[in-house]
Amino acid sequence: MKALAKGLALTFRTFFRRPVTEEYPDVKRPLPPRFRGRPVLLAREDGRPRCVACGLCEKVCPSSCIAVEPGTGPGGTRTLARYELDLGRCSFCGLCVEACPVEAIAMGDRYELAVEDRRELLYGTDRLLSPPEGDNGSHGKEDRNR
Amino acid sequence: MEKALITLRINEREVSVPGGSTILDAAGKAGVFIPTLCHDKRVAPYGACRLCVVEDRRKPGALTPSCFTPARDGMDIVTDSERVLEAVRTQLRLILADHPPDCPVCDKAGECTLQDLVNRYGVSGVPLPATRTPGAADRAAPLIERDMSRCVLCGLCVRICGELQGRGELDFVHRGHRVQVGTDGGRPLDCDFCGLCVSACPVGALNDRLYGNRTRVWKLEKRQAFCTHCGLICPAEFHLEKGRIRRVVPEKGDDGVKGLLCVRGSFGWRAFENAARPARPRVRRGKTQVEVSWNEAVKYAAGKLRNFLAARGGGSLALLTADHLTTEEALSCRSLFLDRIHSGVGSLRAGGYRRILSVLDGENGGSFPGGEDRRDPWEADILLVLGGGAVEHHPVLKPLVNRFLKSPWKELAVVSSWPDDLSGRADLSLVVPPERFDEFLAGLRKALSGERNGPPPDTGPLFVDTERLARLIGLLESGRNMTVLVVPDLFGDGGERARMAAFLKDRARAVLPLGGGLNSRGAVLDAGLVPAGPAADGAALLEAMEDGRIRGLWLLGEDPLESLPGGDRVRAALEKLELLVCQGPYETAAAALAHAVLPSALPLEKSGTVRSLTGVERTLHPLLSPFGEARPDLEILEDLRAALGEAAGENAPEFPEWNTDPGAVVPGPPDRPSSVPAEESPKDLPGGEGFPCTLVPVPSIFGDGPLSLRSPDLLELRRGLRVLMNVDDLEDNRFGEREPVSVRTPFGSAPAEAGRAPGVEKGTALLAHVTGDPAGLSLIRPGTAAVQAVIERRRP
Repeated sequence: MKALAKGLALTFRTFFRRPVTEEYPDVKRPLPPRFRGRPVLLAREDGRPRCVACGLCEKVCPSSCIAVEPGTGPGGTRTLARYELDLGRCSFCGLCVEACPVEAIAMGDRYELAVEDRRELLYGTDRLLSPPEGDNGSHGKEDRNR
Repeated sequence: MEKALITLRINEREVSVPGGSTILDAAGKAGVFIPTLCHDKRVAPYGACRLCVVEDRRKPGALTPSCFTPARDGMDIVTDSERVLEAVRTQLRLILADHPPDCPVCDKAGECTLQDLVNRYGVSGVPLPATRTPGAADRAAPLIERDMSRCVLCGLCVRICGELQGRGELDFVHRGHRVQVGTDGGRPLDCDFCGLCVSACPVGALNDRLYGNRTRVWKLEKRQAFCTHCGLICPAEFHLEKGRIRRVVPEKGDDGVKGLLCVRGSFGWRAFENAARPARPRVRRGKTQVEVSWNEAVKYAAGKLRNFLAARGGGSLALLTADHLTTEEALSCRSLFLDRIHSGVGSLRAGGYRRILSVLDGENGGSFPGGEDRRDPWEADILLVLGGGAVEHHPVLKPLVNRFLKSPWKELAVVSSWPDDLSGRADLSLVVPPERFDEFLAGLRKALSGERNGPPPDTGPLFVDTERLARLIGLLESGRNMTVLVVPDLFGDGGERARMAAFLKDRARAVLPLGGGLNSRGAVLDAGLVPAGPAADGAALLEAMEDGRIRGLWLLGEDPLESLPGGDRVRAALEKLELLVCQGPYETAAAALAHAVLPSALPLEKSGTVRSLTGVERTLHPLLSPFGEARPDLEILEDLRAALGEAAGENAPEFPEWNTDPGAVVPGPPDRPSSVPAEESPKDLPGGEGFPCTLVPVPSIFGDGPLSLRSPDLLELRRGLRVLMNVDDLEDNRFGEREPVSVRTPFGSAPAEAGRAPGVEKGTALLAHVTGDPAGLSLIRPGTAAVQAVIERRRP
């Protein structure tokens, strides 16, 4: 009898509390600042990628999902010709971000990455540079790199 | 002589080294690491970087630079004391203070000595603010990029360029803290582009532009192979990424000493990527060529060959090889063409070389000094070079000769037909006019063979300094240890030189003919694919093609339109042929006229054995996948043999229905009179405004071989046909450097670029880069060592 009352008391108390469940996907939780979503390339002010094509991310990547192709820019400097990231292999470990000497790559905030065709998981320079498609929001994640 | 061993202690380890070794050598033997930045065993120690300091317990107080301090008996060396480590760290910090932190964009990152040392010694931060402003890299010169803001002033490039290559293109400029490595007047690099400076640079100050910004050093697969541009077959390290060559660097030997390469080896590798190659075999159908399968092509070629042999006989067929065949392939070629068909065999580019080699070989039954005998030719006391253009044919000889001359009591004597690079640095240099060179050699041979009765040989008409001639004869008669290098003329037959080489053979330690193709030596000596018939010599071949003694050509990588002088006469002769088969890796001009085009693999795409001009056997392994459907020559030749064999019945030793008697050349119907008379009488040169001179075709340092001519980068360095003359002649005729001129000879005329060449006699001009230039080839005739010409300013 006593146990029953105890149980019901808990039920009643919860009854008047705010619900914990969220209406995902209509409502999205704010993300912690160090959340590791899809990697993004960061741009300079003129829109070109900050990347200098040093290839360290490619070297450090444990799942070999990054391919960097360097090119020669004006004045003979090393510039990025093509950056490709195979999200199908990416383990979101963030080592590329740590290795980058010029802070040109960061872990983004996108986590809804399901596609119907694996080929869409190959992200080229443009898709890695542009802000995530669809919702432009950062899901509340503070981007320290901007 | 053996030097006495000395014993010393390095970090408590006893080590014995021969006297004269440095502490650094001893440490290497003891397995102790000593950091160095300015040390390269290819050049003398210098002591610029001061990273190699060590402590001698017997001499407390001073730190000793180990790279140029000789080891002494009983030394007690410490390399890891706190004092030494602090000195190294301080030195590294000071170097870093003046070095831009741009490793992410520097192509050297990953193989940079400075980077490795900084990581190894845990140096971070710099003690002083940077003094040097990072400037943009100098990319004015082709192939080599110079970024002086990264330079650590180790002086390796300066030393390797001056000491080893003998060029002295790079040197220190400015004084004090503004000192820099540069060229005189800051002009763009204009040198041999051997790339040795790039291979020596410990940091990213000198870079290979073909490699720059394309990949990363850790992505490269490093494969040991050989440079196949000329017959020296230098060992080289090919760096590949995903099956594509990214760069070629000198090989590091077992002793850790880097090797040598020339411009062709370092920068000529894009010839392997040249897409102007036949991907599939083609055969002539009516007036056009159509692509067919290999089976069909071989069957077609075999049928064509069979019909030809039945009608004309083996003697009317000539095989021209560029000598890119491996010894195994040459053997197959010999047994088919030489032993069974009895065709003629020759080479256009390596004709002179093959002639000299086969004369030397025939003289004493198959072995001669430097052939079977593997004595090192560089151990001799005297190096005698007969003929001009030794280092132009084989640029790696430049550092090799310089290294040879650095040892005490070595002498270099050059008897050249034109002032080539070696005659400039020879102790005894004789320049004999090219048209009299053979005469001179014959006279010299007479003088040496003791025909002293009668009047002394008249040297007057030879235009040779009698005193120098006497010194030369003295050298030859001194009985000293001598190596003889014999260089044929670019388009000469090498006959007289061959006789001279055979004459000198017994007196010399080694007689090495130069100017051969990749495997000329292996083909002639090991496979027995010796010169035969009129094809052995360019002039005779052209005549034989014109008068109908030769009616069929089987081209193995060779192209008469590219390397047989004669202009229209060559084309007319080719058009007249009843059988023309092009079997080679590249698309050639002659291929358009061919009955069959059989694409073959490049040397780096096949395996086999080759023998270098110095007699060293090298084994080739496939490094690249073959282009298109190209196949190794061995497979093609074996298929051809099978296709021919089937027709004649299995195991038929001879082909009875063919006329394979070498003498039986069926002349066929009389040739229609060709538009060009077979015997051209040199027309008198019309006078005029120009500069009359004797024109001497000379080999190009950027390579005349089929591979070198397919490299876009080497072609860019050649800049087409050039006439090089004395500065006075240049000024007297008011020709500017690089001014477009037109050259006229009795045979034709061609546009060219004027240039300066040191040491050329007045009234003589050198014709460079003529191979592969149809207009240039029309100026001369095969077998002519020099021709009268008029050079005049080109009117726009």
